[in-house]
Amino acid sequence: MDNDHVLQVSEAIKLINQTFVLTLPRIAVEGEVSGFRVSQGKWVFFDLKDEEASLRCFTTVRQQSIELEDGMKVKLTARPNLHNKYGFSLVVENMMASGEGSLKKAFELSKKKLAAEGLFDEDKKRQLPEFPMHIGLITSSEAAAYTDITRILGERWPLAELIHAEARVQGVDAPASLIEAVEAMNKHSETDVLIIARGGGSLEDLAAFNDEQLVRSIAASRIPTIVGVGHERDVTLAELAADRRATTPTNAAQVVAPDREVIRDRVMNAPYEIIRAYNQHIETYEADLKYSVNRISSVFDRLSDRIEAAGRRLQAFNPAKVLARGYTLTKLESGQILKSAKQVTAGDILITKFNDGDVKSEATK
Amino acid sequence: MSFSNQYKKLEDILEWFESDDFDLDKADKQFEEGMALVEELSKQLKDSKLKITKLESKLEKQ
Repeated sequence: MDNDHVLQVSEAIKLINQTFVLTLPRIAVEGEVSGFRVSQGKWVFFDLKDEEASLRCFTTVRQQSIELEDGMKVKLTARPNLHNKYGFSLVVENMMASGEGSLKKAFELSKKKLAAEGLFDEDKKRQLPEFPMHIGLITSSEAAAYTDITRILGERWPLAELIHAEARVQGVDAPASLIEAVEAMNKHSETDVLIIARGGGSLEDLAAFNDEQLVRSIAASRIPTIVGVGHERDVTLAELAADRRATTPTNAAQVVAPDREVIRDRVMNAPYEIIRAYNQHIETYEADLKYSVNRISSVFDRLSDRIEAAGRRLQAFNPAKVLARGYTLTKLESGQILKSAKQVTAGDILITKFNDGDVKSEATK
Repeated sequence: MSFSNQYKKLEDILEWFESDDFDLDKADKQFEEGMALVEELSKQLKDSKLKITKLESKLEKQ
């Protein structure tokens, strides 16, 4: 054995890892999850196995893009790595559930977790702009959705500038590609609404839109977002996190773009609408004024009634009426009214007031 | 004197006639003053009501 080619263990590990980087930097593997565990809330370990073999896998909680359970089938891309102490493992970069059962399971687990975090809350959803002038579109330019959306936007609202960000919309690399596009769009300050779309497909084809990291990036988007994936029956987590869910990519374009024909009609009819509204206001004011005048009139009527009643009450005390009934009023010449015989002395001149005149007399006692 | 002050004065006169403070010496004067107030207040109300009626009529024609 030539001693020049004998390596120390750490050197051998370094060389093996360099060989991996050069010859097999990334590998895509499909298998069943076994021994899934999270250590210290940060490190994720599991084995990926088939009927004959097993591969140790490692990732972080932050990078774990779908919820995992033992028995779930997943497809992942990973970097082969030989660790100094723990031996060989795959360092997972992307993963997605595989097979209908696992896809549904992963969907439900992620939905429950993200809903609990409030990512789908209705009160966080924003209105899309009514007249967007810069529309961002994230999809694959090879997809039918791209053709449909660009055609509809061009027909309905050609005033807007379309800003397209290319992204893979299917496969294990799609989530990272979509996230990169969402982040790039958010850096494009002029984009005022963002469409994320892809056409219909199998559950597995649409799985990228259930990726937790993608859902988080959509929920955190500065730009109001609408997501239209698949057909009306397909619901993905990305759609639930968006400000608006479109039933299809075509529907997303219809929701975002106002119809220029409708807008033109609205503009043409605006003067008539203004006149109608103006007249309506005037009529309302006139009615209010009439009502106010009626109320004031009623107040005057009530006051008149009260004054009239006061007059009738006062008439009851009219001294002339008392005299008419045969009573008299006697005064001294000084005008002092006599209420008692004791006020009179002999020789006083008395003036007695009758209903029809006065009589002057002299007191004799 | 404002309408409200005149009305208050009329109310005071009525109260005076109906109260124990009634004094025969002042009755004639109070009665005359009360009736003058009734006449004045009625006239003011009649004038105001006429203005309102004219306004109502004007609004109806518009």
